[in-house]
Amino acid sequence: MSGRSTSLPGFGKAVRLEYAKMRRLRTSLVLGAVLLATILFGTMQLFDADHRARINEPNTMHWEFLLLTGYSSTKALFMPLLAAVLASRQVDIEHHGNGWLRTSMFGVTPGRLCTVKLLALMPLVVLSTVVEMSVLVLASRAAGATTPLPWVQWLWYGAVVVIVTLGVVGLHLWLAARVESQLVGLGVGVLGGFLGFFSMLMPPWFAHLTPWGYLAAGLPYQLSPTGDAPLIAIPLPWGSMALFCCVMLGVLALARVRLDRVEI
Amino acid sequence: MREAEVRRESGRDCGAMDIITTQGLTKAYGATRVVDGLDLRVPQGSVFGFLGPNGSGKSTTMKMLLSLVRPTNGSIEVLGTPMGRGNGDGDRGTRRRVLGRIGSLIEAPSVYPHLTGNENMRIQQMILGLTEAQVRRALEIVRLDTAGQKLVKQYSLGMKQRLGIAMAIAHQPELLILDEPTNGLDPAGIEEIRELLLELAGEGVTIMVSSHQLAEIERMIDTLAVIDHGRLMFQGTKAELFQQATPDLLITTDAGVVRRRDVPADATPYVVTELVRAGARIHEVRREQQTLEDIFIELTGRGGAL
Repeated sequence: MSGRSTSLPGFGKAVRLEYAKMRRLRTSLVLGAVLLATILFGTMQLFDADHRARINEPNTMHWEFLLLTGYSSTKALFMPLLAAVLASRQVDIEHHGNGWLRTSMFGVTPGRLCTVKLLALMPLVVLSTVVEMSVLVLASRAAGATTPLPWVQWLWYGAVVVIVTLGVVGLHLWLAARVESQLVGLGVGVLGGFLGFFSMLMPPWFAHLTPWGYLAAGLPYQLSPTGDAPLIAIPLPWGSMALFCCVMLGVLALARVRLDRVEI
Repeated sequence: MREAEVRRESGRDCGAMDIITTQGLTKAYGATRVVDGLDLRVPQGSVFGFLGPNGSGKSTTMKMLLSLVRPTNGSIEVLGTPMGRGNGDGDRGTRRRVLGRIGSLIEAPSVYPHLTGNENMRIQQMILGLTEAQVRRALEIVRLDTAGQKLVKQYSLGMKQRLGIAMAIAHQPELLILDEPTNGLDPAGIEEIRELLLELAGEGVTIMVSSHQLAEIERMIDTLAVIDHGRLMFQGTKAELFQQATPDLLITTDAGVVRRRDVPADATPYVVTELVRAGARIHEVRREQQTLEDIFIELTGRGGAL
C-alpha cells in the first residue's frame, strides 16, 4: 500500500529537487545583478573615446588589457561575494526548514546535499561566465575593435573563472552549512574580494596562497619585464590550475566527510 | 467502545509482535549519557506514548530509531529489521527500505517557509514517488487542501504542524514516529490531531508519540513508556500504570477535604480511626485515581512544563 520509493535519489533527481527549492530565492536576480555589475565595470575602458580611437592599434593590446585589467580584476572583486550569497541562499533554507533532518531521513546526508547544491549551481555559474565574456566581446566589437580575438587565452580564462568560482562556492556551501549565521559567510566573501583583488597586484606566489587568488594565478598574461610591449602572453598556467583543482577537490571531499558526520 | 479502539485491543490480545524493540540502547556525548540502557518495546498496532521531562532523552531516542543519530551502544530493531551501525552499502540499503515504511515528525515540521504548502508537498512527492491521489488525500486529512497556495511562512504554527503531519502520512506508512505533534495547536486542533491519529491507528498504523500535554496524550494512548535522565522508569499499558499507582485517599470532614497519597488499602481503617479519635467529623471516605500527570510526577520527581 505504501507508495514510497526506497532508493536513494540519484544526482539527476536530486539536482531537480534543488531547482524546485530555488523558487523565490531570487537566485537569478542575484546572478543578474552581479553579471550586470561585472559587465559595466569590465567595459569601463570602452566608454573612453580616446581608447576607442586607438582600439585597433598594436600597442593598445585591447583584448589583452580587457581580460587582464577589465574582466579579471572585476571578477576578483565581485566573485567572492557572489559565491557567498549564492551558497548562503541555498543553505539557509535548510536551516530554517529543518531540511537537514528531512533529507537525512531519505539517506541524503548533509555532505551529499551540499554536493548536490554545488552541482545545481554549476550550470548557472557556467552560463553567467559565458554571458559576461560574450557581452565584453560584443561590446568591444560594437566599439570598433576589429583585431582578432585571442580565443585560446579567452577560453582558457573562462574555464579558470568557472573552476575557481565553483571551488569557492563549494567552500562557502560548507561554511554556510556549518555556521548557521550567514553573516559569517558573507564576511568571508567580502574578505575574499579584497584578497582576490590584491592578488592581482602582488607577486605570483601570493596569488597561490588563497582560493580567491587563483583568478590572478590563472591569468594567461603578465606585465612585460622589458619595454617592448606592455603585456606579454605567458604559457597557460596549467600547473597553477592543476594545483588548485587537486587541493580544492581534497578540501571539499574532506568537508563533505566532516559534514556527513554531523549528527542532526 | 469505538471501532478503532476495538481493533487495537484485538491486535494486542492476539499477542501482536513488537514493531520497535531496543536492547541496552545507549547514547553518550562525552561523559554524559543522554540515553542509558533503554529496553523499549512498541507493540504493533498500538498508540504508544513516549513520555519524559525536557532533556530526558525522548528526541534522541526517536532520532536513533530513525538512524539520524548513531547509538553509542545497544541494538535497535524496527519493523523486524536490525538497524545496524555498519557503514556497508547493504546496511544503508536495508535502513533506507525500512525508513521508507516509516513516517516521522521530529522536533519541528520539516517545511520550507519560502515555498507554498503545495510546493512543499510537491517536493515530498518527488522524493518519495507519491501519486497525486496520495498527496491530495494527505492534505485533505489534515484539512490543508484549501490553504495549499499560501506561503508556509504565512501559516500559523498549527498549520505548519498539520503540514508536517501531512508529509509524514502521505506515503501511508506502517509506523508513525511523532515528536510533539500537537505542539502549538489550539484545543480544536489538538482534538483534530487526536482523532486523526486514532483513525490511523484503527487502520493498523502503529503510532509512537511523545508529548508534553499529558492530559491530551492520555486520551489517545494505550501503551506507554516513561523515561527520565535517559533511563526507562515504566513501560506497559495504561491500565498497568494505574494499577501500580495507589489511588489517593480523600476524606471529607467538617474542616474540608483531606487528600492523602500513597496510603495502602489496608491502612485506610487506621487513618479513619485516628481522625475520629482526634475529634474529626467524617462525612465521606473515598479513593480517587491519580491522573497520568500525578503518576508521572511521582515517577520522575518533576512536573509542570515537561
